Amino acid sequence: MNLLRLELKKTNIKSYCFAAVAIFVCLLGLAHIFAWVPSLGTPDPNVVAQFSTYKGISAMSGAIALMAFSSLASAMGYRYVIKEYSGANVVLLFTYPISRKKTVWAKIQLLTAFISITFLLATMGCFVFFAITGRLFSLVDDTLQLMDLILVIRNAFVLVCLTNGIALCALRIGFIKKSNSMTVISAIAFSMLLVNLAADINNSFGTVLGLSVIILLAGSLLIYNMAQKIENMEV
Amino acid sequence: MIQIHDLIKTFDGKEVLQRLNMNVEQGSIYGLLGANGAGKTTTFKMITGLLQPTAGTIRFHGDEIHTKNKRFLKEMGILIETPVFYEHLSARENLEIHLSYMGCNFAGIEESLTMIGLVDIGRQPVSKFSLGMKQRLAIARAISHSPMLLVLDEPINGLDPMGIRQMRELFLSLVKDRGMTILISSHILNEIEHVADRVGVLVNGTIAEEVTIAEIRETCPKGLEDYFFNIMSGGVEK
Repeated sequence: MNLLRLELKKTNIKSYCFAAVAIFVCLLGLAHIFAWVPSLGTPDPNVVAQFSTYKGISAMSGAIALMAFSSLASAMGYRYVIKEYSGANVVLLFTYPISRKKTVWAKIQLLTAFISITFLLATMGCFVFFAITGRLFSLVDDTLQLMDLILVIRNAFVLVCLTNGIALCALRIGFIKKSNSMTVISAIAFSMLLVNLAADINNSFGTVLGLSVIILLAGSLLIYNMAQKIENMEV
Repeated sequence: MIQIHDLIKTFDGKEVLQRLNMNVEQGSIYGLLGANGAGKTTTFKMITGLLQPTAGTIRFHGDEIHTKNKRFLKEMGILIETPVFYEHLSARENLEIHLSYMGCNFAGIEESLTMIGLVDIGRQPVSKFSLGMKQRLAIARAISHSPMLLVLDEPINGLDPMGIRQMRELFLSLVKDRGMTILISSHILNEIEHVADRVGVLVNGTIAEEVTIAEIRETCPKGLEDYFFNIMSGGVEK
């Protein structure tokens, strides 16, 4: 807990809070644009079904949140994990009488906690705002039900696991060359591969849940491997 | 305090340090000298556990230093390579983080900042500091937890003449008043001559000569600079 507190103190988290707010605003804007799609008169019934229900629009927003927060997590992960273990920063960090592994895990905990909280707040907050404006201005040709809200919460928790999993895998890849671009590009590439599936989460929930668990586990194992490398690192 | 015995360090098959032997006595200032790439920083990194020796031993108060053994780090104040800080935080906050990691209370902050002349700007973010101020702050950080041993690699880099004199006085008082031991490297030989009790000259990865400053003054009337250049050119003129 003490290490976590120290990591938080060291971290200039303000800029990432602004980034999370910006993502929230974009999600909110996109949700309203999605609601406008059926009125464009598209002939595809699947598209109409996807964009004319609360659960369809929330699934689309969730998929976009997955991409946005994976990128944010990877950028933040580079700054607060990888960069701390490169150059002169690592010399400072290794001169403290604390376990290197514990420090790595404290940083990872801080990263995943920040991403999880902001992801949940952004996706759920976006849905609540959209539901209110949707009802006020009849934006969606659908009736809001309790089930829609339950689905949003369920999907958000699964997508948070997927986002964190992607970020952890990207972090490990970025750590190989200690490169910012490699970390962020890996996260974008992974999330692009999964974004279609995430958008279809209401129809293929089992698959998304299974993949989320697998990717989160893989990410955790990769970070365990990174912690081992850091433990034996010479600088 | 520090005993180094037959220390060898190899990087990619190249021996950077070759059977280095060195002794640093408690309560003294030891100057480690050498040309660029001689192995001074490598030696310091092994003393502080940042690098693991390929062979040989380093003992600190009789205990062998190892990268996995972190206890000894509490007893060391370390300044190696360019000092880094959390730039968005103030000097005080940086010292608070350092002391928290070291498991100490914050009592030493005020005194350390006063000693290095930064007490008035201790609440300013480090991002506004000049290179010299950062170097001073790095020294404050190294001494803030009252270590027994200070390992200072090029600590006066970037300091103005006033700063150099201030640091010289600080190092001498830390040894005299607090009984600290200082292991220092610098290319400013004049300063080493002023502060060190004993110097070791690293040539080809090993200590070519290890003498006291008093002995140097006896053998080389022109002082450490001439002594150093004589060693580097292959012998000591007496």
